[in-house]
Amino acid sequence: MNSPDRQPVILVVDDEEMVLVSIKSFLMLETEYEVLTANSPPEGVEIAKQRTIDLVISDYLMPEMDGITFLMQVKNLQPHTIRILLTGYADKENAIKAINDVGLYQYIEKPWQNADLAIVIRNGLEKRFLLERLAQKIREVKSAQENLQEIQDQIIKAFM
Amino acid sequence: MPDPAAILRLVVIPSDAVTLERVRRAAPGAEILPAADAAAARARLEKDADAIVAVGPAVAGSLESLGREAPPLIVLDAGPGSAPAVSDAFVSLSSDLELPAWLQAAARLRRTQRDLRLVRAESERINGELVASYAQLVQQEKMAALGALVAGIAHEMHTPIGSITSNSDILVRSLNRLRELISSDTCPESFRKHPDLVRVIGIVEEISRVNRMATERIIGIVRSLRNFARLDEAEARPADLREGLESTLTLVHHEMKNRITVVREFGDLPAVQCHLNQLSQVFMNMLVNATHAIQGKGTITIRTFREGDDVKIQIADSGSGIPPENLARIFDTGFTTKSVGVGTGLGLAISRKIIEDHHGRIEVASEVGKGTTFTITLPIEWKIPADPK
Repeated sequence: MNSPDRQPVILVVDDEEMVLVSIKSFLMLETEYEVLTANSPPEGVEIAKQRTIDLVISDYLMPEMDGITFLMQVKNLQPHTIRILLTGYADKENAIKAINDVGLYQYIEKPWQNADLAIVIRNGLEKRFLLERLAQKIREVKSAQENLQEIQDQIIKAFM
Repeated sequence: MPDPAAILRLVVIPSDAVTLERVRRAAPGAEILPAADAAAARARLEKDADAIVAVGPAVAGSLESLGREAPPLIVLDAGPGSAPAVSDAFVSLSSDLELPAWLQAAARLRRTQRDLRLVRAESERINGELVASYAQLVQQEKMAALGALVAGIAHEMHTPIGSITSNSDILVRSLNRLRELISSDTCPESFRKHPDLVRVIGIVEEISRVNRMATERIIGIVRSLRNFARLDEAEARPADLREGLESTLTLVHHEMKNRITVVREFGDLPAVQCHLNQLSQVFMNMLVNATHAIQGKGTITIRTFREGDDVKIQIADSGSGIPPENLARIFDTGFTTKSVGVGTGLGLAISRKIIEDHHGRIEVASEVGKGTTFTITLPIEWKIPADPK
């Protein structure tokens, strides 16, 4: 795995505290990620306004706002955040629809298996950091190209 | 030619020639049916006769056994001594001349009674059908309500079960981490080998292992309930019947306990167009019936196989079997041999209806003392696109 240069930041949003505690405890035990939790979508949106989020996991059925709407708001704030939906079985169809609407990376069915959750998160983060590096490389190539162009221009000027 | 219905049929006892001739003369045009005794006369009356003409007080006395629903009975020569033996419904005549008028009245009465009996039987049959349809409707409503409830419960259980599953996994992982920590050199030996520590870790380990089993069991049950009560399927769609069978087996597990061995002989089955929740209800019914049929220990064998464009599901039990006289009626609405409160007599009737809605059929073979086998045949795909709902 490509090890990132910084500690990955994960946001978990669920109106049920027990889910937050379970996922956070698991990630704290098994990973080096920084895990942020929010008890409601508005709270989650507030966090996304202040912090860079690498990956967000959201429940689907929540009182104030459903998970898809919430993930859409996160997408508007941070388009490159990896988005994962946690759903009950009955909401599966909504989740599948959301794959296209929200650009969902993956959905996980409740009750989830920690091992599956870990793999999905790890792969999601890998994608996130690979894309980040790719963007970085593109920027570097671009600036190198610009430098090259400048040197080329100077050489041409020198000979003219 | 006279109307055959208009001809009076008289059963005459006793059947000696003199008596028969006497009645024939008194009732010209009537058909005379001799009867040796009261029992024969009654049998004839039940069949097609219009009235009994008993001659002589001794004979009248022996007809008391005819019962409460008094037949048109005319006693000739009743005699003064016979009065107490002859009930109100009987007419005692002293003269042959009075016979014709009474016979007409008796015949009319008899025919009216017979017509009434027919009407009553017909209305009883219709009433029975109505009661059965109503019960079936109630049963279906109950299943639908139960299904909604179960689906709701299964849904609500996802979050807590998810949390518990995750937590018991975390517990195992934490324990392993703890074990690594204390086995490192930085941990003093006195602590590492402390008997209390070893004991506590052992307990937590054992508890976690059992927790894991328990949550797996709960997840399995919830999954089965969800399959069983799948309400979101308005259309029949291809499904794996073995999945339905497994879900149902999970749910009837408590009925079988260690008493019954389930043998699965599952052959390769293609996905079958069906409402899996409805078929699961049928499987449930078959399995519960099989369980009830087995006293003590026994075996239920479930076979699935393909036959041409059909699939077959066989559920065979090693139970008490069904006597031949009941075998033809077991799919009838309201037929049950179970005591009140155990069976509604609707299970198999509804099962058959569900299977017929799926364009399939259900058959039974049974031998008393050996067991019963139900065979369900279902088409893989429905020839008609119409949905039963």
